[in-house]
Amino acid sequence: MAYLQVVGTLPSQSVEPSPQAGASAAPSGIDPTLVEMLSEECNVDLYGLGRAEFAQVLLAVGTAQNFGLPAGTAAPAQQHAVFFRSLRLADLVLAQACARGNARAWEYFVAIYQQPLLRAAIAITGSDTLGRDLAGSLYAELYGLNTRDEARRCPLESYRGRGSLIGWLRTTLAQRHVDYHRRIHREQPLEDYDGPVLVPDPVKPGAELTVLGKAIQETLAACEPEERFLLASYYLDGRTLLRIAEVLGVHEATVSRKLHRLLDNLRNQVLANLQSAGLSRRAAEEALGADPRDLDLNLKKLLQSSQTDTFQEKAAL
Amino acid sequence: MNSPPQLDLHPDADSINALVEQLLTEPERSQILTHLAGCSRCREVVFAAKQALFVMEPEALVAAAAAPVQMVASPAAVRPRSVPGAWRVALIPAAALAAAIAISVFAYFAHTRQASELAKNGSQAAPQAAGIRQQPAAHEKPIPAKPAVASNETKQAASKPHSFGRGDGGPALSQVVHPNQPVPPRAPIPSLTTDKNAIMSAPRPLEQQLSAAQFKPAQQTGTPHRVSGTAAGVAANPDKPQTQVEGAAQSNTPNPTEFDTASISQLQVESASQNNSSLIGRRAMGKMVADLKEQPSMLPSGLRATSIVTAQHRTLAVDSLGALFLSTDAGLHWDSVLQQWEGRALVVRTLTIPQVKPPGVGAFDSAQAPKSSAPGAGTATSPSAISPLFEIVTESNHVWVSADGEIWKQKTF
Repeated sequence: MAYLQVVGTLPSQSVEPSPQAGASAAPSGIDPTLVEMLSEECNVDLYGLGRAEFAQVLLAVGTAQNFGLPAGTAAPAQQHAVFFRSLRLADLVLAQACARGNARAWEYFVAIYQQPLLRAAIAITGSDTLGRDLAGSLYAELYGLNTRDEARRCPLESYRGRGSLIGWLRTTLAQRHVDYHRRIHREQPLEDYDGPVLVPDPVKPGAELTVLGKAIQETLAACEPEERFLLASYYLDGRTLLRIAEVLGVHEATVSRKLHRLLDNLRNQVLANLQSAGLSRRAAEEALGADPRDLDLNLKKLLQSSQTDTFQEKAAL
Repeated sequence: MNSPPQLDLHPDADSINALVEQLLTEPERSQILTHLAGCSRCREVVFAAKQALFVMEPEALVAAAAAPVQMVASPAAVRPRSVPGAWRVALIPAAALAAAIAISVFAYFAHTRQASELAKNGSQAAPQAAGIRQQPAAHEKPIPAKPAVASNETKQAASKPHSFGRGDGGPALSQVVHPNQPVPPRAPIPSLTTDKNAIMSAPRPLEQQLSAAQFKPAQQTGTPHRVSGTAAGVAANPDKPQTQVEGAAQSNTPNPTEFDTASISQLQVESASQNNSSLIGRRAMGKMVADLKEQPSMLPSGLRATSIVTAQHRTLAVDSLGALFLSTDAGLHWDSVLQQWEGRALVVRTLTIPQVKPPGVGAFDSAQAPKSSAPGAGTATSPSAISPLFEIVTESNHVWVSADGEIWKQKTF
């Protein structure tokens, strides 16, 4: 809060125009009984959120996600309760209240999340100084100091209550940190530039290597998503099995076994592809024993190539 | 080849957090994992967020350590207990008896093995004199420490002769709690991991280095192709992989105000970094292909192969002590190769210069090679007349070449 006072912005300045608490009746669409029950569960009184404003928050959240139903489907009243029960509603309401500029919600948010956010930032950056800088910059963003189209934007608006709010904050911190480092790592002083590299004429790979490369491409294209993630994390990023296991939510030994099986399957599939290309079994095994440096294949590109689904990052600026 | 990816579109923080907290449904999880497989930026975010989770909530680390081990290979191991409680008491003396018998049997076999090893050591004097120099035990690489996980699966995985070097042991769980602590260097592993790294970093002849074509023409981009590797964040975080520098066009537009303090001599330029990305991808592919190769179960030395190649129906393998072995029947039988070089052999590899192949060898199926390619079969294609086929790199970084895997000469550049 001290930081926010220094920058001359008070949390009472609303990010978006919001109706005065209690100024109007609850919007139609959500059962008032459900609103009352959820408001007690979410302790909205802690940050002075009126029932009407709370109902508006609920309606906005539910409408944005169509109460968990596919777009175009009308959500019955029973679905409202089911949908809100599936969310981290207390966290979501707090985030929405902060995004709307509720001062008491901000105080509550800072009291609860300031230290965890700082610890997360230090953990992500590996440095106390960098961690404090990262956490401070995110605070400024969360507070809505950035503007777009002359309107203050708060990243908390993009929180949808699926996971925990602290988890969302951790992930947002990680995104900021990774983006920052990926930006500055591609820069270097000009004085270190030592001229263009002499590039030889490209050498056409041998026929065996061409067939082997094609067989590997076909094999990787048929991999399951988790297998592709495993290959990328292990071979491209050099992550340990333990780290990969943590992300996948399984034991380290399970990841080890999965990787074993995956390589066995890949090997068999590559051999099968080589044989279907006209090689004998023995020749296929011999082709697989080629020097890996002679393969003009890029694992990163191959794993990217079958990526068809895209995401629209609901950027918090 | 499918349509090119749109890597400027990423899952939002909510979805990534849901993945980290294991809240996604299976279709959503598959969709995000597919994206993660091709997007190094989002992978970094996921791993960083997970790392922060364990720092903030140590109890989550305990829960992760107790994560269920999926018993895919042996589902019988998770079957429920079938012994009623009353009979468990009766099982105690039976278990004690079985343990006593097991100890006795183990002691007997240990004694027998010791006796046989003594006899074997005496018989090894002859091969040592023949040139297969046994290295002292100090040369043998240490076995990495495995985390103390009381799980049969972990023990089974630890005993497997796989080559997943980097992650094999992984840091102990207590070492993961705080990432600020520098991660101790991982012990080298006497497996293909060492070989893979050696393969990808071992010196190559100049012509092959050029033919590798790992660098794209600088004229194509018109920009300097250098990537800075020093940053405070990474320097303070030794666990960060090199992929911080890979990927292009995935970050936000640089804020011009961030460069105001830079002096003219330190003018920063944007690098395409595609070369580095390509290099990383090629190396990763090389390591994966090296892992795909089937390894012989055991060499005559009793050790596993750390490097193995096959060409012209000849398979050469180097064990962890640096001895070289030759097989002409796809690894069924092995003969030791007389040591003609100084020091240990580290890596054996094939030379794939086009003129190596004797005339008449089929383009696709080398099994169709004429018999004249056998050593000494003819002047036109005899090993002495053709270019070398194999080469080894010794621990003193000398390269020795051979046409048949049996007769070796030091290579002069």
